[in-house]
Amino acid sequence: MEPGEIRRIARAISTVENQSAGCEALLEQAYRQTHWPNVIGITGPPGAGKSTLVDALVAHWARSGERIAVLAIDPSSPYSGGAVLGDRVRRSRSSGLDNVYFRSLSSRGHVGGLSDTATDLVAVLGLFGFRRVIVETVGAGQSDVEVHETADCTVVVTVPGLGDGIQAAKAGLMEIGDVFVVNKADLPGAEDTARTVERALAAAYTGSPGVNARPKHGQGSAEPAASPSPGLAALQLRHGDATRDDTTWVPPVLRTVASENAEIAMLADVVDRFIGWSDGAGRLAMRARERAYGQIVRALATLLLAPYVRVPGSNAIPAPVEQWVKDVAGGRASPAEAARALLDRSGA
Amino acid sequence: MSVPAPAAPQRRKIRILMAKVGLDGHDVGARVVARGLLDAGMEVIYTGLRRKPDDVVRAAIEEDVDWIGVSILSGAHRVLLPKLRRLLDAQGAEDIGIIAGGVIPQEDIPELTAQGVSRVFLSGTPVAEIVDFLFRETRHDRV
Amino acid sequence: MNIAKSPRSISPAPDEPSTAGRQHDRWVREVYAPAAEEKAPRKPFVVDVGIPIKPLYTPANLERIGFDYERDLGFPGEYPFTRGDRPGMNRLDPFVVSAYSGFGDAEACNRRFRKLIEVGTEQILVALDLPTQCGYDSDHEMSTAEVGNVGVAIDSLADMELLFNGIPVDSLKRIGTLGNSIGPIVLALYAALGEKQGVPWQRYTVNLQNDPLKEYIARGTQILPPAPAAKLATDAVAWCVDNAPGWSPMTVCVNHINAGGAGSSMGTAIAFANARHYIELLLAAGYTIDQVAPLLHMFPDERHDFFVSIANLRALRRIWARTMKETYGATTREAMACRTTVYGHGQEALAEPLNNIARTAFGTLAYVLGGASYVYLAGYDEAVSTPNEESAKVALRTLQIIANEHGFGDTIDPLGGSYYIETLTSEVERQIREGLAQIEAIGGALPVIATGFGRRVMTEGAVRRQRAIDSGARPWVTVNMWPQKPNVSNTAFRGDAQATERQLARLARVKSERDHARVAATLAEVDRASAEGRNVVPSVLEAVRAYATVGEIVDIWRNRFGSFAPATDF
Repeated sequence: MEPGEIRRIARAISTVENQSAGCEALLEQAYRQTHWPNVIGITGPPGAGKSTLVDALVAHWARSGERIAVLAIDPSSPYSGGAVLGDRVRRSRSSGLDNVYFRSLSSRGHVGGLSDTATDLVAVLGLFGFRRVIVETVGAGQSDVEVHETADCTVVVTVPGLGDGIQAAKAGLMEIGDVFVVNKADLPGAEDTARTVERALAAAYTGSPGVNARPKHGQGSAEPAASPSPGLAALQLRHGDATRDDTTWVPPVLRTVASENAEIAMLADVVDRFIGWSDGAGRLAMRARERAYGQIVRALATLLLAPYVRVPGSNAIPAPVEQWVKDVAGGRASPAEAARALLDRSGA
Repeated sequence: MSVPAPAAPQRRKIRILMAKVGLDGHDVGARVVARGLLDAGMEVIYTGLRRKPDDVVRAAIEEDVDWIGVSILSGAHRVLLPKLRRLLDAQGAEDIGIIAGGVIPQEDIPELTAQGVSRVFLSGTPVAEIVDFLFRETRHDRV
Repeated sequence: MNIAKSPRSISPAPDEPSTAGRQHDRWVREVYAPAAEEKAPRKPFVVDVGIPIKPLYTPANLERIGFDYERDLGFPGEYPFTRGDRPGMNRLDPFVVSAYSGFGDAEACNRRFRKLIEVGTEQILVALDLPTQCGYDSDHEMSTAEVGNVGVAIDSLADMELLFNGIPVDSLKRIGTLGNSIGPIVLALYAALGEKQGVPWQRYTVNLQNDPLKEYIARGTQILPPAPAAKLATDAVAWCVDNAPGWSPMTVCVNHINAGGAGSSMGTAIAFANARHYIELLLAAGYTIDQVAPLLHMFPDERHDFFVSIANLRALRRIWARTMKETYGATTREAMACRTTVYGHGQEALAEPLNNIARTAFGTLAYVLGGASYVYLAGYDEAVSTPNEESAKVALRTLQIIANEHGFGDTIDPLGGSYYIETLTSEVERQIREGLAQIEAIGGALPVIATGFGRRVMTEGAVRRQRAIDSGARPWVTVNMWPQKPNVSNTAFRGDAQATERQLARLARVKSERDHARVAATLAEVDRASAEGRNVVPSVLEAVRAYATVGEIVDIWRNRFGSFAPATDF
């Protein structure tokens, strides 16, 4: 990439980040492209070595010459809105590569592990010819689950020694992983951690890690569950239902040392195999539809709420709501009545 | 989302790349300043130690920052700061400003300013002074 | 200052104040509090390590800490070494007056060394420039604008020969350098230098810092990942046990960790955990604690609070002695006595630098009263530049004044038994032990680096200190009291273009004149020794004798062990 082009990419991302002039036109163009990039989400608790892993993965994929972008998202301060973004510090192998674009983002107050513009940014990167985008999330545990909406493959990273059992399980990360990685596998306790993850997965999946063909009739105990729990239903939507689908995916648990090239190559291969399987099974397209639906609903909500939402940091109540606030607080109306009246008046 | 927000909330943040160039590994000052800028609502991108000027400039452009803040304590400022400026200008990033902090002799400051360093803050400068400078001098209309 | 009778017999229940306690409380209530009410407090009375300081300390405080003379203090040169690591302390063998110096190239630096010796320097630690410390030769791209800036450039044995030209290695009590990330190489350079001068290893003493683990947390010259770096550092210690047991090849540092913001108690805990990591590597390599411990020195640091500094040194010696004995089974005095190197600082300011003479003198006096063995003192201009000749001389003279005037060293541990000092010593010891427990909980010295724990405590502390200065809670003359504009002098780390040119010319000459086949063969052996996990020092010594350069040897390790990817914690 020429310096001029890097600058154009960087500026386009700022335009979306800041929602400044030209943002809407840019996104109209970006969402009309046909080559949506493959998005790989890397998430996991702080200290799991995500940045080092991303560095190694990027260096691996970059060897093919394809353009790769990294969006590294760190939390913003809830008090000031500022942030210290330190993900570049870990860059060594992927640093200085001509076909790699790296951008540090702050969540800018958005809870959920992503920046609220992450999907828009993926669209913009697609416009600039990136076919692979790695999204590294804040690693704040529970709030990270949102990554799986944007990502085509979510890699959940953990390390030994983060506490008894696996924190990821408590944090809801178990439900979103397509691939699990026990990083720093040379540390004591790594094997125990990996087994704990595998045991947790065994409770929800049947089959062996990777792609599984549906068992032939008469084999196994593949009785369709009467009504799977919502959690299980979500997993089946993502990874297939062993009782109905031709193939299913069982998330593998890899042991990596981010400094070992062979292990990184294997991880890269597993990620690509998952994306390939998802695509072949029609799940990528299904996910794109889910993503589009989620985005439309949120865009709609933003649009509808726009006249009523406070300017961040301000204590003033927006004018259209002012009288209703007095009425509700004064015991003269219910919040639902207020909302209904405001909506009717707006003509929506 | 592309929906224009009401009353244009201030989404734009001042972004600054905090860089250590050369071999000097003392970054206490840089870390304290970074925390101060964070508290003032800015986004601080830290490069880590021992970055070459080329790497710093590439990072600044990728990150689309308003400023590069360089901390130098080893005396290499007279060579490295002007080099950063030249590289930025050569890549069309004239609008990215450079500020420097650390141990820099008074006598060198006019020369550095002449070579395109916007401001030099000596060690011990209250962080508030740096914050004020950045709020005042950042071109907030830039994208 | 002394206690009339052993408080062991008193030990009251905590909720039932003793006579001493009641007397103290009465004084506070009836005398102090009414007086204090009329005055606005000048500042919060809390030291940098967070201990609130009371208006007065009395026997009641000793009761509260359960003070026991024999258990807690003992006698100088005896377990638990609280009162001193050696029998006579400054009365019989005064601390060693030391200088840390280096700039430009070996030729320029040699002239400064001769002047330092002329005015009475007993030990010189060579300040190396950053390229040397980070393992780059002067002609490397990364060395641009850095050669000779903050220390002298050393590329090969040829530079060492020139640096000590006319200075026999045995004419000083100790010689050495920091060389934290290149320990085996600087050790080999000093060993080969003795050979060149015809002085056997047992006739001189080499002291190295050689403490790579703190570099990742605080100082920033790290090269390799921490585990192999620690292993190479302990190779230097092991080689000395076998070949030069009188040398001190490792000085484990609190200094930079505290200066970076951790505070002296947590800094001591981190350094102590680092020391334990090195010790355990050496024990695993088959050495005994009695062989190893005497070669390790500690480098404590407290530059904000005079009395905490004294307490810190005393607490450190106590913890060291108990750990060596109880944890590692040390049996000799040498292994249980913690030898300390200190570098006198204060809160040095950039404005009106001459005031720093007073600040560093007080900081140094505290170390001396705390019983330090090897004492350096910062030049008054050191915060802003390579010390000039005058400031280096003032620093040495100040040390000589502390060693000889005022009777500071006439009696041993002169503050021992003070209600305040003993209370502080026990409080600081408790803080250090708490820090150690925290570090143990995350798995020891390497996780301090890997988890970002070390960086985190430093950043938090640095921000806290900055706020205390900005708010005036920590008074600082010419900064937040009677503030003055900082004035960094023209000499600040300017480097010397001519010295750089001389250095590059000398390096080119060495590289062209040496026996290339021998260099290649010795470097190949360094690589083999490194790969096989053998002690690298013998092979490095051969390479150094063949005039292999620092950068060439470090490149072997970079290729074999990889480079360090730093923590993201900011």
